[in-house]
Amino acid sequence: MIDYMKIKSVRMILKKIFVFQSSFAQYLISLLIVATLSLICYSIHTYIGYQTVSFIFLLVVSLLPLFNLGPGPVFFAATLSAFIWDYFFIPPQFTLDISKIEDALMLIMYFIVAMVTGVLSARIRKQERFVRQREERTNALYKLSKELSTAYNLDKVTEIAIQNISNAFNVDVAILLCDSDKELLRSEHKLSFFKINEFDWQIAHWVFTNRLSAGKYTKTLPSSEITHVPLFSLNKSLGVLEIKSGNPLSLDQQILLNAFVAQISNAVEKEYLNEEAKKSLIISESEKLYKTLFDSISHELKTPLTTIIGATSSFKDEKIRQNITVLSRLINEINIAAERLNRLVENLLDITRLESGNLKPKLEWHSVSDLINSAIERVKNESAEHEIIFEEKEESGIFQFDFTLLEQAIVNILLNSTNYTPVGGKINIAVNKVDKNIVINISDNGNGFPIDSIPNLFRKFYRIPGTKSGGTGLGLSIARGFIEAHKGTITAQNKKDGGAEFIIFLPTT
Amino acid sequence: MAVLNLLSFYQQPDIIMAIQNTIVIIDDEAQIRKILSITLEAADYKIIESSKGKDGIVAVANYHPQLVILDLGLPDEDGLSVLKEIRSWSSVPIIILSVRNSEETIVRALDLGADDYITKPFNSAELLARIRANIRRTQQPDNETYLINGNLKIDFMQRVVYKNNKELKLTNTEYLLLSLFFKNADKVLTHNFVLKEIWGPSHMEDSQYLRVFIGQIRKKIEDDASHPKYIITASGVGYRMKLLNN
Repeated sequence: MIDYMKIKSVRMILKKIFVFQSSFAQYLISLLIVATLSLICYSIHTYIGYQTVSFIFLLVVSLLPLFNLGPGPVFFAATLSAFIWDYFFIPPQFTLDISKIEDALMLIMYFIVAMVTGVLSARIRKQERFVRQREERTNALYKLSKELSTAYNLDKVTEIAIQNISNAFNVDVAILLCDSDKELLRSEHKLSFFKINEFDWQIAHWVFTNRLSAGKYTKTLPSSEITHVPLFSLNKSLGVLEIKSGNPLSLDQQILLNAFVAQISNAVEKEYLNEEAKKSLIISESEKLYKTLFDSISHELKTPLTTIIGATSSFKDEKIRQNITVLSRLINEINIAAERLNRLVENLLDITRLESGNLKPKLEWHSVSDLINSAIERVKNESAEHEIIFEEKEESGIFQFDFTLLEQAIVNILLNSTNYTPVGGKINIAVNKVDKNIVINISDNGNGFPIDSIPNLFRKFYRIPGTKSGGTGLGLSIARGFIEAHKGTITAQNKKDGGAEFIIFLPTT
Repeated sequence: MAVLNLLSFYQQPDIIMAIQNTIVIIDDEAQIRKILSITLEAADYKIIESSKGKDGIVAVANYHPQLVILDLGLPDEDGLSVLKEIRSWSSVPIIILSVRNSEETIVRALDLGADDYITKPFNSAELLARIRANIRRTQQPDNETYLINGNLKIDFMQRVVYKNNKELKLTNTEYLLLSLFFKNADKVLTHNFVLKEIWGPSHMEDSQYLRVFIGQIRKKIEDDASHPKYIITASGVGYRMKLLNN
């Protein structure tokens, strides 16, 4: 991974030209400073004396490292200023000769002191720069990991990765990720700086498969415009980082980029794992639903079939065939079972009709009390052990609705009430007219609904946990579907004095 | 608990005579209870119905039935725990009523002490036959010196099995297996039960042993080993020795 990173950012280059390391510029600056200083000193040296000049030179040379000059230029400035001092200031002027022995000593000492202070402070500066660089790197990495930790999805992770790499290295960045089948996707993340061409896509794919860097500044396919860096975790490839840069990276930057890539790979992998976990949760939920559905439907099919097969197989017995009482009881049971089967099939057909979305109520004029009475009649067998009371407070009149659909809805609600109200319970039906709505209340004096089940009552296949077996969880959802087909609503609640209550609103206009 | 109070009243529940021809049905589906009642009442059984596990346990304790029909899919309590509860103080024959494709549950129920099982939908003749067989088994004395089934006869004293009055050459294990089936004729024996009885608890998982031995026994006792009449496979559950008329 190291070998590809011979990239250099524009910012680093600018730094090099104007600030340090580029020796030519630094020597020029040294020369200018010394020359300027010499001119100033020359103009005033008659007032301050040539010995003071040496101290001024010394001061400036020892300050040079503050202008980010390296040891070389400082050394150059020290040497140059020593010569200038000797030539222009120490008598005899304009020669390199020195007449007095103390001047010669002073020159040597000046030279040594200037060198030592200059070079030492330059070295300190260099170390300081080094520390600062390291701090910048740490900060960049810290910023990246801090931002990645706040990312809540893959998109955000990619966005953060692109922004941070581009800021820290001053390069153009694009990211390719793989899909859930671990195949690299052709499309770059939408915040990418550039689109890659077919040639680079091939390289990216190679990089993804082999988990090795390739492209510009690497040994593999360096003719590409782009450096391709693989993003991968321990045992799987995650994507490819595409970097477009004018210069190779320095060693420091390569190390930093490696750290970035590792961090980003981790974050991307974490998001992939999250997504997988979410997906498997959904799958297991739907498997659970499927199983519940399958169990309830097969139970509903099996119970009446058991009755029918049990009864008909008895007919083979001669003794039973001659026993009229038993025979008629068996036939009655077969009848009930067949009706139950029929109801199940009707329910399944109804729900399919609702699902298909082409349920159009046949609107005709009917009276509401006819509707209720007809529904009560239809559940007569099932409600034999309950008392159904229908009170019509005022004449609710006739309005347009699909008799079959609404009757089925009311039947389903009544069946629900008889099934879950203890034997001997009372079921009350009240019809009222509120504004232009027909309001039908169907309530019982049973145990009511568990509070947390109320929002789910009308959901398809929902059954209150722990209720007796039998039933598919379709009846109420069909009732709601049929009522909503009339632009009406149905709600369920517990009555204040106990028992369940269904409230149906039907608009008459 | 009500049941325990009832029990403490009877010092030795096993001695209590079961009430003649009474059957307790524990099933939450009213329709199934109804059809069972009609069928069984027509065969002169008295029926006590119970829709809940707890009520069923109390009914068994109260009525001392000759047999219990228990549905495993009860809403208030797992059928298996009802079975365990009843088995903890009664040896009344229990027939499990269950849907097909639930062999695992059936095996667990049989291992927990159920005597037989019937899958829904059931044939009434078969149901009645099973009920009769299970009631008969409780009434037959277990100190018989020999038993006869079809053309087979087992002599427990001499440890010999005869087919058409001719002695069969059996290994010791084969004899032990056959005698186990004879003693539990018409009853489903789970793989686990047989393995435990013959080879001991450490071989409970080795059902291939059993398959091999059953194959050998069938060759010796059956007329056509590929269409066995005596030892029938109850698929996924175990084996049953069918009682044939002489």
